[in-house]
Amino acid sequence: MNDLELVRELRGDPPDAEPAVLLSARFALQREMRGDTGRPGAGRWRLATAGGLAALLAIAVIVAQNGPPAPNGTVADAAGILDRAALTAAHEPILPARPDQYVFIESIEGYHGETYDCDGKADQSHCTAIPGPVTRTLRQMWSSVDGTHDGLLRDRPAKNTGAWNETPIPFCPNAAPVTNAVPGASGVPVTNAAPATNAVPGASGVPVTNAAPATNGARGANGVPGTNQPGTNGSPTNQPANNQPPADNCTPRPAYLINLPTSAPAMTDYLRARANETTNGDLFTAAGDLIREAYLPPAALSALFQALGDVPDLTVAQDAVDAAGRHGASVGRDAHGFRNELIFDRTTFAYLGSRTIAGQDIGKITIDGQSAQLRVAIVDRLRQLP
Amino acid sequence: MTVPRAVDEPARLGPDDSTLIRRSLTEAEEFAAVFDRHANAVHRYLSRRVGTAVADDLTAETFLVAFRQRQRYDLSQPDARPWLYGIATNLLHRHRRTEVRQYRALARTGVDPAVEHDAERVVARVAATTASRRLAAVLAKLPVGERDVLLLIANEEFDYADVARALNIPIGTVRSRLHSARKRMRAALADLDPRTHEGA
Repeated sequence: MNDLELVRELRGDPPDAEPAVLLSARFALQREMRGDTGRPGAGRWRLATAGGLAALLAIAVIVAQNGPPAPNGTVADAAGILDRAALTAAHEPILPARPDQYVFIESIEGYHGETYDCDGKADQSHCTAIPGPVTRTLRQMWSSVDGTHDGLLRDRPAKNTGAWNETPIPFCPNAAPVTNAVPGASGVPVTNAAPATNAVPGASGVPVTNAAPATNGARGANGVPGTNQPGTNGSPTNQPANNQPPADNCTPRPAYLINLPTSAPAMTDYLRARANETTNGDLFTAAGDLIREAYLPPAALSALFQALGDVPDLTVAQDAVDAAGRHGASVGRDAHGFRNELIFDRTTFAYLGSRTIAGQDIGKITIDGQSAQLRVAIVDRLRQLP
Repeated sequence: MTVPRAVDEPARLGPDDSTLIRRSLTEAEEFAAVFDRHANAVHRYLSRRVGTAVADDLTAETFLVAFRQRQRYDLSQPDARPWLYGIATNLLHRHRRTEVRQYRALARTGVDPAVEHDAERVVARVAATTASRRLAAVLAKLPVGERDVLLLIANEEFDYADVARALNIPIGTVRSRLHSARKRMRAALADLDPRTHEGA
Protein backbone atom coordinates (compact mmCIF):
# COMPACT_ATOMS: atom_id res chain seq x y z
CA MET A 1 0.00 0.00 0.00
CA ASN A 2 1.55 3.28 -1.00
CA ASP A 3 1.04 6.56 0.76
CA LEU A 4 -1.78 7.71 -1.50
CA GLU A 5 -3.69 4.50 -0.95
CA LEU A 6 -3.14 4.90 2.75
CA VAL A 7 -4.70 8.36 2.59
CA ARG A 8 -7.68 6.91 0.80
CA GLU A 9 -8.00 4.14 3.36
CA LEU A 10 -7.88 6.59 6.21
CA ARG A 11 -11.57 7.25 6.05
CA GLY A 12 -12.67 4.63 3.61
CA ASP A 13 -15.80 5.20 1.61
CA PRO A 14 -18.25 7.35 3.47
CA PRO A 15 -21.88 6.28 3.41
CA ASP A 16 -24.11 7.67 0.69
CA ALA A 17 -25.87 10.90 1.44
CA GLU A 18 -29.22 10.55 3.11
CA PRO A 19 -32.02 10.94 0.54
CA ALA A 20 -33.57 13.63 2.68
CA VAL A 21 -30.34 15.60 2.59
CA LEU A 22 -30.13 15.51 -1.18
CA LEU A 23 -33.80 16.27 -1.38
CA SER A 24 -33.41 19.37 0.66
CA ALA A 25 -30.38 20.39 -1.37
CA ARG A 26 -32.37 19.90 -4.51
CA PHE A 27 -35.18 22.01 -3.18
CA ALA A 28 -32.77 24.80 -2.42
CA LEU A 29 -31.42 24.63 -5.95
CA GLN A 30 -34.91 24.47 -7.34
CA ARG A 31 -35.96 27.61 -5.50
CA GLU A 32 -32.90 29.29 -6.88
CA MET A 33 -33.67 28.17 -10.42
CA ARG A 34 -37.22 29.40 -10.21
CA GLY A 35 -36.11 32.71 -8.88
CA ASP A 36 -33.68 32.95 -11.73
CA THR A 37 -36.12 32.42 -14.54
CA GLY A 38 -39.20 34.02 -13.12
CA ARG A 39 -41.12 32.35 -15.89
CA PRO A 40 -44.66 31.35 -15.18
CA GLY A 41 -44.85 27.63 -15.17
CA ALA A 42 -41.28 27.32 -14.09
CA GLY A 43 -42.64 26.11 -10.82
CA ARG A 44 -43.47 22.83 -12.38
CA TRP A 45 -40.46 20.73 -11.78
CA ARG A 46 -38.66 19.78 -14.91
CA LEU A 47 -36.93 16.71 -13.78
CA ALA A 48 -33.40 15.89 -14.59
CA THR A 49 -32.95 12.82 -16.69
CA ALA A 50 -30.69 9.91 -16.03
CA GLY A 51 -30.28 11.02 -12.46
CA GLY A 52 -28.49 8.98 -9.90
CA LEU A 53 -30.83 9.73 -7.07
CA ALA A 54 -32.95 7.20 -5.37
CA ALA A 55 -36.47 6.81 -6.64
CA LEU A 56 -37.55 7.74 -3.16
CA LEU A 57 -36.03 11.13 -3.60
CA ALA A 58 -37.52 11.51 -7.03
CA ILE A 59 -41.00 10.76 -5.86
CA ALA A 60 -40.60 13.05 -2.90
CA VAL A 61 -39.61 15.89 -5.17
CA ILE A 62 -42.69 15.50 -7.23
CA VAL A 63 -44.97 15.18 -4.27
CA ALA A 64 -43.63 18.39 -2.94
CA GLN A 65 -43.92 20.07 -6.30
CA ASN A 66 -47.44 19.10 -7.08
CA GLY A 67 -48.70 19.52 -3.62
CA PRO A 68 -49.85 16.65 -1.50
CA PRO A 69 -51.63 13.81 -3.22
CA ALA A 70 -55.38 13.89 -3.33
CA PRO A 71 -57.00 12.64 -0.12
CA ASN A 72 -57.58 9.17 -1.43
CA GLY A 73 -53.93 8.86 -2.33
CA THR A 74 -54.34 9.54 -5.99
CA VAL A 75 -52.71 12.10 -8.19
CA ALA A 76 -55.56 13.93 -9.76
CA ASP A 77 -54.06 15.99 -12.53
CA ALA A 78 -52.69 14.77 -15.80
CA ALA A 79 -49.46 16.73 -15.59
CA GLY A 80 -48.84 15.32 -12.13
CA ILE A 81 -49.31 11.76 -13.29
CA LEU A 82 -47.06 12.29 -16.30
CA ASP A 83 -44.42 13.99 -14.18
CA ARG A 84 -44.33 11.04 -11.86
CA ALA A 85 -44.27 8.64 -14.76
CA ALA A 86 -41.34 10.61 -16.15
CA LEU A 87 -39.47 10.36 -12.88
CA THR A 88 -40.14 6.67 -12.62
CA ALA A 89 -38.94 6.17 -16.16
CA ALA A 90 -35.82 8.24 -15.60
CA HIS A 91 -34.76 6.09 -12.70
CA GLU A 92 -35.13 2.80 -14.50
CA PRO A 93 -31.77 1.25 -15.26
CA ILE A 94 -30.99 1.36 -18.93
CA LEU A 95 -31.08 -1.97 -20.73
CA PRO A 96 -27.68 -2.39 -22.33
CA ALA A 97 -27.71 -3.83 -25.81
CA ARG A 98 -25.36 -4.82 -28.57
CA PRO A 99 -26.23 -3.98 -32.15
CA ASP A 100 -26.70 -7.66 -33.00
CA GLN A 101 -29.24 -8.29 -30.26
CA TYR A 102 -33.01 -7.95 -30.26
CA VAL A 103 -35.49 -5.83 -28.42
CA PHE A 104 -38.08 -8.21 -27.03
CA ILE A 105 -41.48 -6.77 -26.26
CA GLU A 106 -44.31 -8.86 -24.91
CA SER A 107 -47.73 -7.38 -24.78
CA ILE A 108 -51.39 -8.14 -24.83
CA GLU A 109 -53.52 -6.35 -27.36
CA GLY A 110 -57.25 -6.35 -27.08
CA TYR A 111 -59.79 -5.33 -29.70
CA HIS A 112 -63.51 -5.41 -29.98
CA GLY A 113 -64.99 -7.44 -32.69
CA GLU A 114 -68.02 -5.81 -34.24
CA THR A 115 -71.24 -7.08 -35.67
CA TYR A 116 -73.88 -5.04 -37.43
CA ASP A 117 -77.56 -5.04 -36.72
CA CYS A 118 -78.28 -5.28 -40.40
CA ASP A 119 -76.13 -8.31 -41.02
CA GLY A 120 -77.94 -10.69 -43.29
CA LYS A 121 -80.70 -8.23 -44.03
CA ALA A 122 -81.49 -6.94 -47.42
CA ASP A 123 -81.43 -3.32 -46.50
CA GLN A 124 -77.98 -2.48 -45.33
CA SER A 125 -78.27 1.25 -45.59
CA HIS A 126 -78.80 1.92 -41.89
CA CYS A 127 -76.31 -0.24 -40.10
CA THR A 128 -75.31 0.22 -36.52
CA ALA A 129 -72.20 -1.44 -35.23
CA ILE A 130 -72.67 -3.65 -32.19
CA PRO A 131 -69.51 -4.11 -30.20
CA GLY A 132 -68.72 -7.76 -29.64
CA PRO A 133 -66.54 -9.29 -26.99
CA VAL A 134 -62.96 -8.18 -26.73
CA THR A 135 -60.46 -10.42 -28.42
CA ARG A 136 -57.15 -10.44 -26.61
CA THR A 137 -53.96 -11.44 -28.32
CA LEU A 138 -50.67 -12.17 -26.69
CA ARG A 139 -47.89 -10.71 -28.80
CA GLN A 140 -44.20 -11.34 -28.63
CA MET A 141 -41.99 -9.31 -30.85
CA TRP A 142 -38.28 -9.44 -31.49
CA SER A 143 -36.90 -6.41 -33.29
CA SER A 144 -33.32 -5.90 -34.29
CA VAL A 145 -31.49 -3.51 -31.98
CA ASP A 146 -29.67 -1.80 -34.82
CA GLY A 147 -32.33 -2.54 -37.38
CA THR A 148 -30.12 -4.58 -39.66
CA HIS A 149 -31.47 -8.03 -38.82
CA ASP A 150 -34.77 -9.71 -39.53
CA GLY A 151 -37.20 -9.51 -36.69
CA LEU A 152 -40.14 -11.67 -35.75
CA LEU A 153 -43.62 -11.16 -34.45
CA ARG A 154 -45.67 -14.00 -33.09
CA ASP A 155 -49.07 -13.94 -31.53
CA ARG A 156 -51.81 -16.19 -30.31
CA PRO A 157 -55.03 -15.72 -28.43
CA ALA A 158 -54.19 -14.63 -24.93
CA LYS A 159 -56.47 -17.14 -23.26
CA ASN A 160 -55.00 -20.32 -24.66
CA THR A 161 -51.63 -21.86 -25.20
CA GLY A 162 -52.09 -22.88 -28.78
CA ALA A 163 -49.63 -22.58 -31.59
CA TRP A 164 -48.05 -19.27 -32.37
CA ASN A 165 -48.88 -17.46 -35.50
CA GLU A 166 -45.52 -16.19 -36.69
CA THR A 167 -44.89 -13.19 -38.87
CA PRO A 168 -41.41 -12.29 -39.99
CA ILE A 169 -40.34 -8.69 -39.81
CA PRO A 170 -37.96 -8.69 -42.72
CA PHE A 171 -35.11 -6.25 -42.79
CA CYS A 172 -34.78 -6.18 -46.55
CA PRO A 173 -37.98 -7.70 -47.85
CA ASN A 174 -37.40 -6.82 -51.45
CA ALA A 175 -33.93 -8.24 -51.42
CA ALA A 176 -35.02 -11.39 -49.65
CA PRO A 177 -38.72 -11.98 -50.21
CA VAL A 178 -40.57 -13.65 -47.42
CA THR A 179 -43.61 -15.73 -48.11
CA ASN A 180 -45.56 -14.22 -45.31
CA ALA A 181 -44.80 -10.69 -46.36
CA VAL A 182 -47.12 -7.87 -45.53
CA PRO A 183 -49.49 -6.88 -48.28
CA GLY A 184 -48.47 -3.68 -49.94
CA ALA A 185 -44.82 -4.25 -49.39
CA SER A 186 -43.77 -2.99 -52.75
CA GLY A 187 -45.76 0.17 -52.74
CA VAL A 188 -45.64 1.46 -49.22
CA PRO A 189 -42.31 0.83 -47.67
CA VAL A 190 -43.19 2.49 -44.42
CA THR A 191 -45.83 0.03 -43.42
CA ASN A 192 -43.83 -2.77 -44.81
CA ALA A 193 -41.95 -3.50 -41.67
CA ALA A 194 -44.72 -2.57 -39.34
CA PRO A 195 -45.70 -5.78 -37.65
CA ALA A 196 -48.73 -4.36 -35.98
CA THR A 197 -50.63 -4.11 -39.21
CA ASN A 198 -50.07 -7.76 -39.61
CA ALA A 199 -50.91 -8.96 -36.22
CA VAL A 200 -54.08 -7.33 -35.21
CA PRO A 201 -56.55 -6.06 -37.74
CA GLY A 202 -57.60 -2.60 -36.87
CA ALA A 203 -54.64 -2.07 -34.61
CA SER A 204 -53.72 1.51 -34.14
CA GLY A 205 -50.17 0.38 -34.51
CA VAL A 206 -49.73 1.05 -38.19
CA PRO A 207 -47.19 3.80 -37.77
CA VAL A 208 -45.48 1.99 -35.00
CA THR A 209 -42.20 0.84 -36.41
CA ASN A 210 -42.33 3.87 -38.52
CA ALA A 211 -40.98 5.72 -35.57
CA ALA A 212 -37.85 3.71 -35.45
CA PRO A 213 -36.71 4.32 -39.00
CA ALA A 214 -37.32 7.99 -38.57
CA THR A 215 -34.31 8.46 -36.38
CA ASN A 216 -32.37 6.20 -38.53
CA GLY A 217 -33.45 7.75 -41.74
CA ALA A 218 -32.30 11.08 -40.46
CA ARG A 219 -28.97 9.66 -39.58
CA GLY A 220 -28.49 7.99 -42.93
CA ALA A 221 -29.66 11.04 -44.78
CA ASN A 222 -27.22 13.23 -42.95
CA GLY A 223 -24.51 10.87 -43.94
CA VAL A 224 -22.69 11.42 -40.69
CA PRO A 225 -23.18 8.35 -38.55
CA GLY A 226 -22.92 8.78 -34.87
CA THR A 227 -22.85 12.53 -34.84
CA ASN A 228 -26.47 13.03 -34.10
CA GLN A 229 -26.89 14.44 -30.67
CA PRO A 230 -29.84 13.64 -28.51
CA GLY A 231 -32.06 16.62 -28.59
CA THR A 232 -31.24 17.64 -32.10
CA ASN A 233 -31.86 14.39 -33.84
CA GLY A 234 -35.55 14.49 -33.35
CA SER A 235 -35.94 18.07 -34.34
CA PRO A 236 -38.12 18.36 -37.37
CA THR A 237 -35.75 20.84 -38.88
CA ASN A 238 -33.12 18.19 -38.79
CA GLN A 239 -35.20 15.74 -40.71
CA PRO A 240 -35.21 15.51 -44.42
CA ALA A 241 -38.38 17.03 -45.80
CA ASN A 242 -39.22 13.79 -47.48
CA ASN A 243 -38.42 11.14 -44.98
CA GLN A 244 -39.17 8.15 -47.13
CA PRO A 245 -36.79 5.26 -46.90
CA PRO A 246 -34.83 4.47 -50.04
CA ALA A 247 -36.53 2.36 -52.65
CA ASP A 248 -34.68 -0.78 -51.64
CA ASN A 249 -36.18 -0.39 -48.19
CA CYS A 250 -33.00 -1.61 -46.66
CA THR A 251 -32.48 1.32 -44.39
CA PRO A 252 -31.87 -0.05 -40.92
CA ARG A 253 -34.78 0.40 -38.58
CA PRO A 254 -33.40 0.20 -35.07
CA ALA A 255 -35.80 -0.88 -32.37
CA TYR A 256 -33.40 0.41 -29.74
CA LEU A 257 -33.95 4.11 -30.04
CA ILE A 258 -30.73 5.46 -28.74
CA ASN A 259 -30.82 8.80 -30.49
CA LEU A 260 -34.16 10.07 -29.34
CA PRO A 261 -34.29 13.49 -27.71
CA THR A 262 -33.89 13.49 -23.97
CA SER A 263 -35.35 16.88 -23.17
CA ALA A 264 -39.03 17.59 -23.13
CA PRO A 265 -39.04 20.43 -25.70
CA ALA A 266 -36.97 18.44 -28.18
CA MET A 267 -39.16 15.41 -27.62
CA THR A 268 -42.23 17.51 -28.26
CA ASP A 269 -40.78 18.59 -31.59
CA TYR A 270 -39.90 15.02 -32.39
CA LEU A 271 -43.33 13.68 -31.52
CA ARG A 272 -44.99 16.44 -33.46
CA ALA A 273 -42.99 15.55 -36.54
CA ARG A 274 -43.92 11.89 -36.10
CA ALA A 275 -47.54 12.70 -35.45
CA ASN A 276 -47.87 14.86 -38.53
CA GLU A 277 -46.64 12.04 -40.68
CA THR A 278 -48.46 9.16 -39.14
CA THR A 279 -51.26 9.95 -36.74
CA ASN A 280 -53.11 12.99 -38.00
CA GLY A 281 -51.09 15.20 -35.75
CA ASP A 282 -52.11 13.46 -32.55
CA LEU A 283 -49.10 13.56 -30.26
CA PHE A 284 -50.66 11.18 -27.84
CA THR A 285 -51.12 8.43 -30.38
CA ALA A 286 -47.66 8.95 -31.77
CA ALA A 287 -46.23 8.59 -28.27
CA GLY A 288 -48.20 5.46 -27.56
CA ASP A 289 -47.05 3.88 -30.79
CA LEU A 290 -43.45 4.62 -29.92
CA ILE A 291 -43.69 3.06 -26.48
CA ARG A 292 -45.49 -0.03 -27.65
CA GLU A 293 -43.11 -1.04 -30.37
CA ALA A 294 -39.61 0.05 -29.52
CA TYR A 295 -37.21 0.37 -26.63
CA LEU A 296 -36.78 3.89 -25.40
CA PRO A 297 -33.85 4.44 -23.04
CA PRO A 298 -34.91 5.85 -19.66
CA ALA A 299 -33.94 9.42 -20.50
CA ALA A 300 -35.95 9.39 -23.72
CA LEU A 301 -38.97 7.71 -22.16
CA SER A 302 -38.85 10.21 -19.36
CA ALA A 303 -38.68 13.06 -21.85
CA LEU A 304 -41.61 11.58 -23.70
CA PHE A 305 -43.84 11.58 -20.62
CA GLN A 306 -42.74 15.10 -19.80
CA ALA A 307 -43.50 16.20 -23.32
CA LEU A 308 -46.98 14.74 -23.08
CA GLY A 309 -47.48 16.68 -19.88
CA ASP A 310 -47.38 19.83 -21.97
CA VAL A 311 -50.13 18.68 -24.30
CA PRO A 312 -53.27 20.74 -23.72
CA ASP A 313 -56.69 19.35 -22.83
CA LEU A 314 -55.54 16.21 -21.07
CA THR A 315 -57.93 14.50 -18.74
CA VAL A 316 -57.55 11.79 -16.15
CA ALA A 317 -59.48 8.60 -15.55
CA GLN A 318 -58.71 7.35 -12.08
CA ASP A 319 -59.61 3.77 -12.86
CA ALA A 320 -58.53 2.53 -16.22
CA VAL A 321 -57.95 -1.13 -17.01
CA ASP A 322 -55.31 -2.30 -19.42
CA ALA A 323 -55.54 -5.34 -21.65
CA ALA A 324 -54.05 -7.54 -18.94
CA GLY A 325 -56.73 -6.48 -16.50
CA ARG A 326 -54.43 -4.29 -14.45
CA HIS A 327 -56.00 -1.22 -12.95
CA GLY A 328 -54.28 2.11 -13.10
CA ALA A 329 -54.81 5.78 -13.64
CA SER A 330 -54.92 6.97 -17.19
CA VAL A 331 -54.12 10.20 -18.89
CA GLY A 332 -55.88 10.76 -22.12
CA ARG A 333 -56.93 13.07 -24.85
CA ASP A 334 -59.87 13.18 -27.17
CA ALA A 335 -59.00 13.20 -30.80
CA HIS A 336 -61.10 12.50 -33.86
CA GLY A 337 -63.92 10.94 -31.92
CA PHE A 338 -61.68 8.68 -29.95
CA ARG A 339 -60.08 9.07 -26.63
CA ASN A 340 -56.53 7.75 -26.47
CA GLU A 341 -55.18 6.98 -23.03
CA LEU A 342 -51.94 5.87 -21.49
CA ILE A 343 -52.38 3.90 -18.29
CA PHE A 344 -50.00 4.09 -15.35
CA ASP A 345 -49.69 2.18 -12.12
CA ARG A 346 -51.20 4.33 -9.42
CA THR A 347 -48.41 3.64 -6.97
CA THR A 348 -45.22 3.35 -8.96
CA PHE A 349 -46.36 5.32 -12.01
CA ALA A 350 -44.82 2.73 -14.24
CA TYR A 351 -46.33 2.58 -17.69
CA LEU A 352 -48.83 -0.27 -17.91
CA GLY A 353 -50.52 0.01 -21.24
CA SER A 354 -52.96 1.99 -23.28
CA ARG A 355 -56.52 1.98 -24.36
CA THR A 356 -58.64 3.72 -26.92
CA ILE A 357 -62.19 4.58 -26.13
CA ALA A 358 -64.82 5.27 -28.73
CA GLY A 359 -66.72 8.41 -27.98
CA GLN A 360 -65.85 11.06 -25.52
CA ASP A 361 -67.99 10.10 -22.60
CA ILE A 362 -65.85 8.17 -20.18
CA GLY A 363 -68.85 7.43 -18.04
CA LYS A 364 -70.30 5.28 -20.77
CA ILE A 365 -67.26 3.84 -22.40
CA THR A 366 -66.82 1.55 -25.26
CA ILE A 367 -63.37 0.15 -25.35
CA ASP A 368 -62.13 0.27 -28.89
CA GLY A 369 -58.68 -1.06 -28.22
CA GLN A 370 -56.50 -1.96 -25.31
CA SER A 371 -52.92 -2.91 -24.80
CA ALA A 372 -50.79 -4.01 -21.91
CA GLN A 373 -47.04 -4.01 -21.91
CA LEU A 374 -45.84 -7.10 -20.07
CA ARG A 375 -42.13 -7.37 -20.68
CA VAL A 376 -39.42 -5.40 -22.43
CA ALA A 377 -35.98 -6.95 -22.58
CA ILE A 378 -32.90 -7.38 -24.69
CA VAL A 379 -32.17 -10.90 -25.92
CA ASP A 380 -29.65 -12.52 -28.22
CA ARG A 381 -31.83 -14.52 -30.58
CA LEU A 382 -35.24 -14.64 -32.16
CA ARG A 383 -37.73 -16.63 -30.08
CA GLN A 384 -35.48 -16.33 -27.05
CA LEU A 385 -37.40 -15.30 -23.96
CA PRO A 386 -35.82 -13.20 -21.25
CA MET B 1 -24.98 1.71 -45.68
CA THR B 2 -24.70 3.39 -42.40
CA VAL B 3 -24.20 1.03 -39.53
CA PRO B 4 -25.67 2.41 -36.35
CA ARG B 5 -23.29 3.17 -33.60
CA ALA B 6 -22.72 0.49 -31.04
CA VAL B 7 -24.84 0.88 -27.99
CA ASP B 8 -22.66 -0.65 -25.36
CA GLU B 9 -21.81 2.51 -23.48
CA PRO B 10 -24.95 3.37 -21.61
CA ALA B 11 -23.07 5.53 -19.15
CA ARG B 12 -22.40 8.02 -21.92
CA LEU B 13 -25.99 8.46 -22.86
CA GLY B 14 -27.45 11.88 -22.50
CA PRO B 15 -25.96 15.28 -22.98
CA ASP B 16 -22.64 16.06 -21.34
CA ASP B 17 -22.34 18.54 -18.51
CA SER B 18 -21.31 21.47 -20.65
CA THR B 19 -24.38 20.97 -22.84
CA LEU B 20 -26.62 20.95 -19.80
CA ILE B 21 -24.97 24.04 -18.39
CA ARG B 22 -25.19 25.84 -21.70
CA ARG B 23 -28.88 25.02 -21.90
CA SER B 24 -29.35 26.14 -18.33
CA LEU B 25 -28.28 29.62 -19.38
CA THR B 26 -31.65 29.99 -21.07
CA GLU B 27 -33.59 27.18 -19.39
CA ALA B 28 -32.54 27.34 -15.77
CA GLU B 29 -34.19 24.05 -14.91
CA GLU B 30 -31.76 22.15 -17.07
CA PHE B 31 -29.26 22.64 -14.31
CA ALA B 32 -31.13 20.09 -12.22
CA ALA B 33 -29.56 17.36 -14.32
CA VAL B 34 -26.12 18.51 -13.21
CA PHE B 35 -27.24 18.15 -9.64
CA ASP B 36 -28.64 14.67 -10.19
CA ARG B 37 -25.51 13.54 -11.87
CA HIS B 38 -22.99 14.81 -9.36
CA ALA B 39 -24.64 15.57 -6.04
CA ASN B 40 -23.82 12.20 -4.54
CA ALA B 41 -20.17 12.39 -5.53
CA VAL B 42 -19.79 15.94 -4.27
CA HIS B 43 -21.36 14.90 -1.01
CA ARG B 44 -18.99 11.97 -0.74
CA TYR B 45 -16.00 14.21 -1.33
CA LEU B 46 -17.10 16.68 1.30
CA SER B 47 -18.06 13.92 3.69
CA ARG B 48 -14.66 12.34 3.43
CA ARG B 49 -12.99 15.61 4.23
CA VAL B 50 -15.10 17.02 7.04
CA GLY B 51 -17.68 14.41 7.95
CA THR B 52 -21.31 13.99 7.02
CA ALA B 53 -22.77 16.81 9.05
CA VAL B 54 -20.82 19.57 7.35
CA ALA B 55 -21.06 17.82 4.00
CA ASP B 56 -24.84 17.91 4.19
CA ASP B 57 -24.84 21.70 4.29
CA LEU B 58 -22.02 22.26 1.87
CA THR B 59 -23.47 20.03 -0.83
CA ALA B 60 -26.51 22.24 -1.12
CA GLU B 61 -24.36 25.34 -1.06
CA THR B 62 -21.99 23.99 -3.68
CA PHE B 63 -24.78 23.63 -6.20
CA LEU B 64 -26.29 26.98 -5.38
CA VAL B 65 -22.95 28.65 -5.96
CA ALA B 66 -22.40 26.61 -9.10
CA PHE B 67 -25.79 27.59 -10.45
CA ARG B 68 -25.16 31.27 -9.80
CA GLN B 69 -21.75 31.05 -11.43
CA ARG B 70 -22.78 28.94 -14.38
CA GLN B 71 -22.15 31.81 -16.82
CA ARG B 72 -18.50 31.44 -15.94
CA TYR B 73 -18.36 27.76 -16.75
CA ASP B 74 -15.82 26.90 -19.44
CA LEU B 75 -18.15 25.31 -21.99
CA SER B 76 -15.26 23.59 -23.71
CA GLN B 77 -15.09 21.25 -20.70
CA PRO B 78 -17.56 18.38 -21.02
CA ASP B 79 -17.13 17.20 -17.42
CA ALA B 80 -18.30 19.53 -14.68
CA ARG B 81 -16.78 17.53 -11.87
CA PRO B 82 -13.54 19.52 -11.46
CA TRP B 83 -15.51 22.75 -11.49
CA LEU B 84 -17.95 21.49 -8.87
CA TYR B 85 -15.21 20.06 -6.68
CA GLY B 86 -13.37 23.34 -6.92
CA ILE B 87 -16.40 25.20 -5.63
CA ALA B 88 -16.85 22.61 -2.90
CA THR B 89 -13.21 22.95 -1.94
CA ASN B 90 -13.50 26.71 -1.66
CA LEU B 91 -16.50 26.33 0.59
CA LEU B 92 -14.59 23.79 2.66
CA HIS B 93 -11.98 26.37 3.50
CA ARG B 94 -14.42 28.03 5.84
CA HIS B 95 -14.38 24.80 7.76
CA ARG B 96 -10.63 24.41 7.73
CA ARG B 97 -10.42 24.43 11.50
CA THR B 98 -13.00 21.68 11.78
CA GLU B 99 -11.09 19.60 9.31
CA VAL B 100 -7.76 20.09 11.10
CA ARG B 101 -9.32 19.40 14.48
CA GLN B 102 -10.70 16.11 13.23
CA TYR B 103 -7.34 15.00 11.92
CA ARG B 104 -5.68 15.97 15.21
CA ALA B 105 -8.23 13.98 17.18
CA LEU B 106 -7.67 11.00 14.95
CA ALA B 107 -3.93 11.31 15.39
CA ARG B 108 -4.24 11.53 19.17
CA THR B 109 -6.93 8.97 19.87
CA GLY B 110 -7.19 6.74 16.83
CA VAL B 111 -10.88 7.57 16.62
CA ASP B 112 -12.00 9.67 13.72
CA PRO B 113 -14.67 12.22 14.63
CA ALA B 114 -15.54 12.61 10.95
CA VAL B 115 -16.58 9.00 10.63
CA GLU B 116 -19.87 7.75 11.91
CA HIS B 117 -19.58 6.15 15.28
CA ASP B 118 -21.25 2.88 14.80
CA ALA B 119 -19.47 0.36 16.95
CA GLU B 120 -17.97 -1.88 14.32
CA ARG B 121 -16.46 0.92 12.37
CA VAL B 122 -14.91 2.46 15.43
CA VAL B 123 -13.35 -0.82 16.42
CA ALA B 124 -12.00 -1.26 12.94
CA ARG B 125 -10.63 2.25 12.94
CA VAL B 126 -9.10 1.99 16.35
CA ALA B 127 -7.30 -1.08 15.21
CA ALA B 128 -6.28 0.94 12.21
CA THR B 129 -2.75 1.32 13.04
CA THR B 130 -0.08 3.65 13.91
CA ALA B 131 0.27 4.49 10.27
CA SER B 132 -3.12 6.09 9.94
CA ARG B 133 -2.65 8.09 13.14
CA ARG B 134 0.63 9.44 11.90
CA LEU B 135 -0.93 10.15 8.56
CA ALA B 136 -3.70 12.09 10.25
CA ALA B 137 -1.08 14.12 12.06
CA VAL B 138 0.56 14.97 8.76
CA LEU B 139 -2.76 15.91 7.17
CA ALA B 140 -3.52 18.18 10.10
CA LYS B 141 -0.30 20.06 9.55
CA LEU B 142 -0.28 20.23 5.76
CA PRO B 143 -0.64 23.65 4.18
CA VAL B 144 -4.21 23.85 2.97
CA GLY B 145 -3.22 24.05 -0.69
CA GLU B 146 -1.24 20.86 -0.40
CA ARG B 147 -4.06 19.11 1.42
CA ASP B 148 -6.49 20.10 -1.35
CA VAL B 149 -4.23 18.66 -4.02
CA LEU B 150 -3.41 15.53 -2.08
CA LEU B 151 -6.99 14.65 -1.23
CA LEU B 152 -8.34 15.32 -4.72
CA ILE B 153 -5.73 12.98 -6.13
CA ALA B 154 -5.76 10.31 -3.43
CA ASN B 155 -9.47 10.21 -2.66
CA GLU B 156 -11.14 11.37 -5.83
CA GLU B 157 -8.61 10.00 -8.29
CA PHE B 158 -8.38 13.29 -10.15
CA ASP B 159 -5.52 13.65 -12.57
CA TYR B 160 -3.24 16.67 -12.54
CA ALA B 161 -5.26 18.51 -15.15
CA ASP B 162 -8.50 18.02 -13.22
CA VAL B 163 -6.90 19.24 -10.02
CA ALA B 164 -5.47 22.25 -11.82
CA ARG B 165 -8.94 23.08 -13.11
CA ALA B 166 -10.61 22.52 -9.78
CA LEU B 167 -8.21 24.67 -7.78
CA ASN B 168 -7.49 27.11 -10.56
CA ILE B 169 -3.74 26.64 -10.31
CA PRO B 170 -1.14 25.70 -12.91
CA ILE B 171 -0.38 22.03 -13.41
CA GLY B 172 3.20 22.66 -12.30
CA THR B 173 1.87 23.85 -8.96
CA VAL B 174 -0.24 20.72 -8.66
CA ARG B 175 2.87 18.62 -9.15
CA SER B 176 4.97 20.49 -6.66
CA ARG B 177 2.28 20.53 -4.00
CA LEU B 178 1.68 16.82 -4.39
CA HIS B 179 5.40 16.14 -4.27
CA SER B 180 5.77 18.17 -1.10
CA ALA B 181 2.79 16.52 0.59
CA ARG B 182 4.01 13.03 -0.24
CA LYS B 183 7.49 13.85 1.05
CA ARG B 184 5.99 14.81 4.41
CA MET B 185 3.92 11.65 4.53
CA ARG B 186 6.82 9.41 3.67
CA ALA B 187 8.97 11.03 6.29
CA ALA B 188 6.29 10.44 8.90
CA LEU B 189 5.92 6.82 7.90
CA ALA B 190 9.57 6.10 7.24
CA ASP B 191 10.27 3.88 10.22
CA LEU B 192 7.19 1.70 9.71
CA ASP B 193 7.13 -1.52 7.75
CA PRO B 194 7.04 -0.25 4.18
CA ARG B 195 4.82 -3.08 2.97
CA THR B 196 2.00 -2.68 5.41
CA HIS B 197 2.70 0.39 7.48
CA GLU B 198 1.40 -1.70 10.32
CA GLY B 199 4.58 -2.00 12.36
CA ALA B 200 5.69 -0.41 15.62
